[in-house]
Amino acid sequence: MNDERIAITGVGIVSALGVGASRTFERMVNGDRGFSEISLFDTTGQRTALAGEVRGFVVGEAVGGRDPSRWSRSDALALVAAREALSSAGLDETPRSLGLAVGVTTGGMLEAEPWLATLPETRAALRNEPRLVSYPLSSTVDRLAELFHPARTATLCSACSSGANAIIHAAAWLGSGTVERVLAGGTDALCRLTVTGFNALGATDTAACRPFDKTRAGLTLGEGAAFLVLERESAARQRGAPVLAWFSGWAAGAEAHHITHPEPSARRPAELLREAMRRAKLEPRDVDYVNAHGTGTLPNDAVETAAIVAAFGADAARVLVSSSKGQIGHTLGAAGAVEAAITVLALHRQIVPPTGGLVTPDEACRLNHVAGRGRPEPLRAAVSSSFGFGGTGSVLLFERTDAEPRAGATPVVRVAVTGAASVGVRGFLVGEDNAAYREPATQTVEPLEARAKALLDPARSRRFDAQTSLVAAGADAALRSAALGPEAAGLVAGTAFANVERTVAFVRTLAEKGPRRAPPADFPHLVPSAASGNASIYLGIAGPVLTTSDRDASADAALSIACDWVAAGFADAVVAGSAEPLDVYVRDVLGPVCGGARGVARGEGSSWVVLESAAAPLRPGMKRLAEVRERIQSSLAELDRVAIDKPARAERALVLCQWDAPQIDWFLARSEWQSASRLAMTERAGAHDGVGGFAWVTAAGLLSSGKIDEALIVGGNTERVYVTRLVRAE
Amino acid sequence: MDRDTLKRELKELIVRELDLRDRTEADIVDDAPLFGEGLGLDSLDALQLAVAVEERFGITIPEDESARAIFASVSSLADHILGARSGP
Repeated sequence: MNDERIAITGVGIVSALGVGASRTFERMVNGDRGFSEISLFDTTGQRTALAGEVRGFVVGEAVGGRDPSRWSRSDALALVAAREALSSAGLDETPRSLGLAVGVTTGGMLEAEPWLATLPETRAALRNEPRLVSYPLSSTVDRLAELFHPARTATLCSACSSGANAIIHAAAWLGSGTVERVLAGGTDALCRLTVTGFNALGATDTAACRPFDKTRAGLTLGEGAAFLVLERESAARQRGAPVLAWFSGWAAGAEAHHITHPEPSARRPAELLREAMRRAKLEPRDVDYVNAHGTGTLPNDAVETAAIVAAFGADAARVLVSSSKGQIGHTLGAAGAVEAAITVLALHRQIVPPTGGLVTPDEACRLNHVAGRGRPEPLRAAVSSSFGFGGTGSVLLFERTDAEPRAGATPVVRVAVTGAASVGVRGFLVGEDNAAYREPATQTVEPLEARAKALLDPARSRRFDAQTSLVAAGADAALRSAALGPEAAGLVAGTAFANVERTVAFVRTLAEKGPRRAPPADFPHLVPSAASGNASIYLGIAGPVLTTSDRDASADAALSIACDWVAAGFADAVVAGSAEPLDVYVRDVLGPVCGGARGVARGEGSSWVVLESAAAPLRPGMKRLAEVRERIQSSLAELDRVAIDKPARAERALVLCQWDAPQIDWFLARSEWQSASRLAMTERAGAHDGVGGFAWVTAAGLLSSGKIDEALIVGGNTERVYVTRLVRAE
Repeated sequence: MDRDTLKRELKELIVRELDLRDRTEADIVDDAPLFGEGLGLDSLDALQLAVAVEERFGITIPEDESARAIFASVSSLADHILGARSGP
């Protein structure tokens, strides 16, 4: 139980307006716009090359003495913003009890593109190519963790709301007392893929974007990074840190409508705005400013206006509105974090930044706009909204430092497993049948994609690739086994590399035929969160929809985040797991370069559990399969500091391992779990980055059928370990 | 290429490019509306089809409102391609 407030004690921003939060904010207030022709790569044949590039930013300089080939531009942008955030919070670079949450979508794409355009399907010579180390979405967390040594890490991707969800994730950790402070933010560098993709969709304005204007004609891309330091109020007070603003409310959810188009009624975004205010115990009359998503596209700005009008009612005419994208562009995975940082600075300095490019507001965007230059205004509370491909939305609400604390503790929820399903070497298994994975198995020859596609409606699953099909089919079966409707659930999907084959095809078309031949409808399927986004639309998921990534432990990471959100009460129920189909580039190039030293043939699989409150009333047909107890995440190096209770009866306990390391053996021995039987999951469910999910469905099946009393699930990769104890449900 | 051959080829292109796995060429009627109700295609499909048609037939499809009339049906699309190829 925890009723402490969450303090923002530091911010850092790198944007097209400059390096540094103050520089960005001051130029923004001045009405400056940061757009120029892209200089990072060749833009010949692109519909427009105008973007918010961070001019003069050089990765090698930003990362100091470190090997720049291991750092992508996204990683380096994040490093600079993260350091500024820590330093402005008065913290050193390795603060105690730190969480690190990063929202990202392009990651190392810019650096990988030349490789992807020329990669043969198999090439052993590439196995030690350091340039691809920064390719996985989790690279930013891994690089930053080398410096900051966080106790907890999470990578979050939900297209253009990724950065906002990293900040919400910080609130989950702080609410449960997992850590005392969190460095949370987002980063994304410009790359050929996103520039080509948004141009191909015709979503870009060929002039600089004009959010909410009657002449608006699309978005302008940007790049950048921002981080916030969020701290438990007691932790901030204890070290005498000045508070910039309070993080008082948030909401995340999906509208399950279309991969690129917002749902015209604006029902779900309006609900999210209201939910964020409700969580903060505020009314529309208490909020003075909305930092809008405001991309400058025709549909977004009109639908967002409708959402603000619906959520604020009569106060919609009063509340001040601006979009930062008219000055720094749409920074995609960074946008939610950059705009949250700007919103915090607006509250702290009591100045509203303007919407660049807005001259004459559209009839469909009638709001109390701030245009031209920023202006001083008394601001008590402010909202920052983000909406992404797939219909994922997140709303953050911040308050001025003199806001009165409002009573109302949020209990930490005990988490139960209420559904399970898998598509793997043993076929399609639901509920307790997953206990079959206790026995070793060999890989079947039938590709799982066909098996998953057979479970889906072809008319509604057009363009689904293998991963998306496996997410949709697996999550659907898990929800059915929990007797839970999709509208009551969120979705968290793990993937180590997303769909590399499809990305290679797109990048290769661009390289060989030029940007005008790039297939527009493929582009929305290339964002790493495409599989979860598409599956949420297919299934009708209304809760938070997230993708995460942690190389070999990607399923473990997804389950960890899902448990965090359910435990914090941010979602009533979440279906979580991972889908890893065979991908030749993962098998032959990225797996060997980025993964561990596993010398076994790569498998494939999709495994899902439903997590919800252990106190939720039972529905007809529902059974609690297991209950989640201790959950630990630790770097391999610090695992010797971690302890877990010994099993009550070792002969009725089971360890399910996805990763081997001497530190894990030592940990199990010290915790007196070494006498319990130990299952190597890769020998049972195949060697792939989602095998941790099979440990969960197997344990849930065995616990539910009474074969064991408790299970210890150990997942990991070369950097970190996830340990979870599951017990029989009461 | 005669008009009927062109229309048949366009239908094959539509089924393939738009991943209409539950349909065949025979399900697409020459003069029926391509977008909106019917095949359930949307503006994303229109963009995809435009790029594919431009590449396959070496023509340019305008980005403005006139594209709507060109993509009204398989027949109108075939007429546009034949006109563009025989034009100046």
